[in-house]
Amino acid sequence: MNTISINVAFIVAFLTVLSIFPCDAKAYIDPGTGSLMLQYVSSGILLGLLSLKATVSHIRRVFQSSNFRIG
Amino acid sequence: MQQLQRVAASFRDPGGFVFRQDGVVYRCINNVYAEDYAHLMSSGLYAKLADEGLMITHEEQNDHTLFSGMDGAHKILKPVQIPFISYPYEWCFGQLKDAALVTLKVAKSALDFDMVLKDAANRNVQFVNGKAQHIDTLSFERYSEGSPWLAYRQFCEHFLVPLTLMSNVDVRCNSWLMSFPDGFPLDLGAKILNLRQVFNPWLAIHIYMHAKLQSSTPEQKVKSAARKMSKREVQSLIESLEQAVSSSNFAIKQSTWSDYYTTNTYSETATKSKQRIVGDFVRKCQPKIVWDLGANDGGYARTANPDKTFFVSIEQDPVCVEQNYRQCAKNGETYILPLVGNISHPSPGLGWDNVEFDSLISRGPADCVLALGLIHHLVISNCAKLEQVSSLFKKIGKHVIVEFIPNDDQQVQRMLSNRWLRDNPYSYTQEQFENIFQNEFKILAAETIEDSQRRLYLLQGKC
Repeated sequence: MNTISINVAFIVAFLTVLSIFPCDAKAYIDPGTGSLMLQYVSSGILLGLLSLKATVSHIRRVFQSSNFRIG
Repeated sequence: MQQLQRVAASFRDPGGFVFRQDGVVYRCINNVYAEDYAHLMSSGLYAKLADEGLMITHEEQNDHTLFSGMDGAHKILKPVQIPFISYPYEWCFGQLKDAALVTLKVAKSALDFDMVLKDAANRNVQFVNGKAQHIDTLSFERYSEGSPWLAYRQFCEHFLVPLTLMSNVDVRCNSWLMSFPDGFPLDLGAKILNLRQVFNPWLAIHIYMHAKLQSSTPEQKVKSAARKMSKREVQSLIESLEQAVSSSNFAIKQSTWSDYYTTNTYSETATKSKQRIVGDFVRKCQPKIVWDLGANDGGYARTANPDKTFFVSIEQDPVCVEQNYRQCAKNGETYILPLVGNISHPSPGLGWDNVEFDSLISRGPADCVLALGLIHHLVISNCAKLEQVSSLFKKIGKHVIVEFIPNDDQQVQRMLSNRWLRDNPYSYTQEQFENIFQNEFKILAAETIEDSQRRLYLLQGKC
């Protein structure tokens, strides 16, 4: 559940970001520009993914705790 | 007092440099780095990193003779002395992974103290007492609110790409770092990696997307997208890298040499006899550092090392080195440094002027070198003459413990039977062996291994 939900969220974000940047850009390339750009566009996504992961883990822990066990 | 020798590798950072004086390594902090250094020390970051064993400790020096002739020097530090400098292309998977995790922990802690790790190069980590530690005191600067992590690409190229290649393609990919000492190119890594890694979200972002943006992002577009990043966003970037590094694994499988000790030709009596003799010889030369060549899983550092002398266990098979490293970690054996290396192709001098990364030979001579079960490989597999072997050993060791293996030894015959050879290159008699080595060495002791034809020699290099 945890992995699937994160992967779905990720694929949507991944395709969105890829669609923003066309492959045929031919401008002068500074080796660091891509890294800066990735941080600007992905840091929010990463924060979201990590929060989602933490939330799913928390919910899982709650349901796995003895209070929620049947019998 | 000798004149100070600037360490050749230390020239990039204007904040300071490393030098040697009378055999001791020091670090000079320049005035330009004074404020950042003051923040590192006063904020509590240095104390935290030192307490947690994440960063090498140092003492500030008050000896003003050290400052003589140094314009712009603010402080001189004497860091903990590292007995052997190793490089990332000599590390096994586990070592590179631990070095990566230490770098990320340091980066995360720095943010907590309003600093940022500006240099995430893999060469800034060394193994000290068995633990990966960050060694570059100049790698920190005060955090500027809203700025991205400038060492992000460097971390990916120095750690994440090689680790992912070692984990998913082949553990021997680490040796490619020799060709790319400034980091494995993202685009090349993305090309080599299998597409299935895209479904690991962390790798897809930090390697695939990262590589794609490197080749398709004009500067103007970055300027228009530039925005202030919150500290929490930078932290999440580092945490996601931690997830990516943690998800890379290497399962030990059988390799050429990984089960050598269970399949070799030694009887139990011979094994015990060899361990005893080697242990006695090591003790006789009272070394501070021993290089064990062809060390396999580092067994002799444990069984023939009564005083727990510092051993650099060098082995060409990265699977054996991984086994050794894991065993060291499990048993807390801080006196062993397992490394990937091959004495017939020792690590060369690399980087600027070939001196930024020292060659293996220039890191010697060791006080003692172990060459056990090795010379027949060097002569038969590498076509080296025994005179060349002796000459190489003289360069790398003040003392050498060498195992003479007679021509009719089962292992020698097995090796010869697998080759087409006009003449047997390994046709030395014991007398010839002794004569050749005595040109450059003095024989201090010699003893035949019980229940075996093999003989061990303790040699001392002639001046």
